[in-house]
Amino acid sequence: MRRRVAVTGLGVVSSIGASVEELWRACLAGESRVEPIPASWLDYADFASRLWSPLPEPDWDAWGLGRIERLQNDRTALLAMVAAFQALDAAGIGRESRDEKRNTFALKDVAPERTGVSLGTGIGGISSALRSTLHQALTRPKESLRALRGRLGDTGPGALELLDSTERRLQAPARANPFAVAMTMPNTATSALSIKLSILGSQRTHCAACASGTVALGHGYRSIASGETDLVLAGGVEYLDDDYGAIFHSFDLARTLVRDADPARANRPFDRARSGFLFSQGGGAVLVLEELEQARARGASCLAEVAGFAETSDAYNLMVMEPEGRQIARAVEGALADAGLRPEEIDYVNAHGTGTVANDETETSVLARIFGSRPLVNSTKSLLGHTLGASGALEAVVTVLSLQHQTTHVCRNLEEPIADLNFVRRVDSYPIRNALSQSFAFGGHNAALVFKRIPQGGPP
Amino acid sequence: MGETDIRAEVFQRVRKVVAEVLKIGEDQITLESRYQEDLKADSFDTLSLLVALEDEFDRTLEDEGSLQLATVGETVDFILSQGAQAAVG
Repeated sequence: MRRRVAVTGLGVVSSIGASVEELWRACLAGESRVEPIPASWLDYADFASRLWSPLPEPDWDAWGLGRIERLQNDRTALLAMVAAFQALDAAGIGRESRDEKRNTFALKDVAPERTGVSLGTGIGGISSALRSTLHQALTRPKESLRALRGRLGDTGPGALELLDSTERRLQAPARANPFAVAMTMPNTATSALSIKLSILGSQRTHCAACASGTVALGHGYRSIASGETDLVLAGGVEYLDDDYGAIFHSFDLARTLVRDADPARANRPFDRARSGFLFSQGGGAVLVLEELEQARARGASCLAEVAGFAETSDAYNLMVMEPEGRQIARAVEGALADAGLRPEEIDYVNAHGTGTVANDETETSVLARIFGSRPLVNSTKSLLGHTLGASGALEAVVTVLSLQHQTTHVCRNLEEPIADLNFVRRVDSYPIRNALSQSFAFGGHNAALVFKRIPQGGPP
Repeated sequence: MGETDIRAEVFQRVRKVVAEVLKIGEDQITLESRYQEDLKADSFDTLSLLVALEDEFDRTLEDEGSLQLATVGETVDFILSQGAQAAVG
């Protein structure tokens, strides 16, 4: 018999909140963080999109992640650790020191062999890879430029200044990092988290571009449901920053990012005036998934049940969604069937809702076909921007909070909807029994999760 | 700043970094302390020490030379040989 899976803890690091409480307050207030891209990037390219959602620096030291670990770990691994610590604290699972020198822990009253990690990431340790590459590629050429300057003497007005400015623009980390290989691996966050918490069961990294977080949660759920594990730390992480704006520029060149120059209005999923997605510097979310009976037996608070999951592939194009959304529909219907629910039993859909012209069109047509205009629909990306591989996990957190609190956030900047769906226009008390969270991705990944409400104070 | 003072300051900072990496008290670290035998540093610790010392002194320490340092005192001398004034600047 398939075992039931509960969510017992949530943890997040996001542009609008470095804790679940901060994130939820900001969500209900409809807040967003949108700023001009760093001015230094403009030295290197002409950008069509000039806005992004920066991620405030977490207080690493407060989470026990000191200088040494920050030098040894990719930012995605650190984000995973902070989100996991929050989620475990919320789930009431303590940790005790295992190796003081390595700063590792063991989870209290949890069998490490029956515990797993399932994390999604779109591009893994790309920031570390770029830093390592830039250090090697530019360090000696910069030295050559400095040597050349010394030999030039009087070369006429402006020549030395030009040389100096060229040398300055070749930004590179001052030092090589011997941990670069480990920091660059796509599995770096998953593995670092497993080591940090002495977890001995399966550790899996799911690379499904913008659906990675949803896929990772789905496989975490299946691992527990099938009996492979009893507890899984599941979620997604992403960190997309470099001194040149190179990662941002790749998405800009693909014509996927917001074009509107007004920070207050640029990011507007499902609106007629939408122009692309808001690029986020990064973020992370981790959920504690637990076998339901075990969670109840230890007196844990069950926030929601993960009741269904399905994923499909478009087999269509690496960067373009199949316009009819046939495989998206099949993912949604598969997740509903897995949960044993009919479309009319879904009260809320946390949509992928990127804000790109084509994606929103396809997504709304699929939602209308399957659900009509009854369930509430919102886009958490209208607040957070797009965190790629972390987005599905952050949206799952918002979905669980919506079930728990029986309310949800608005679609920010939605003034003229592109479809006749029940978009959330105001924060109110909403009866939400079951909810769907869906993600689609470059590469043709489609994934959907179904969550059921668990009323506080007792079964079901 | 005299040569003795500079060496003392570099030692103080090296000791702080070694304590931070190996999670031991600074009072256990002397100029004569041997990384492997006395301070129980393994190969991963050696890499961590290198990265942390580079961060502390904001400079590249020539990898091959620095990885062969056996004692804390040798590390202090190595850093001083790379430019004493800059080391405490």
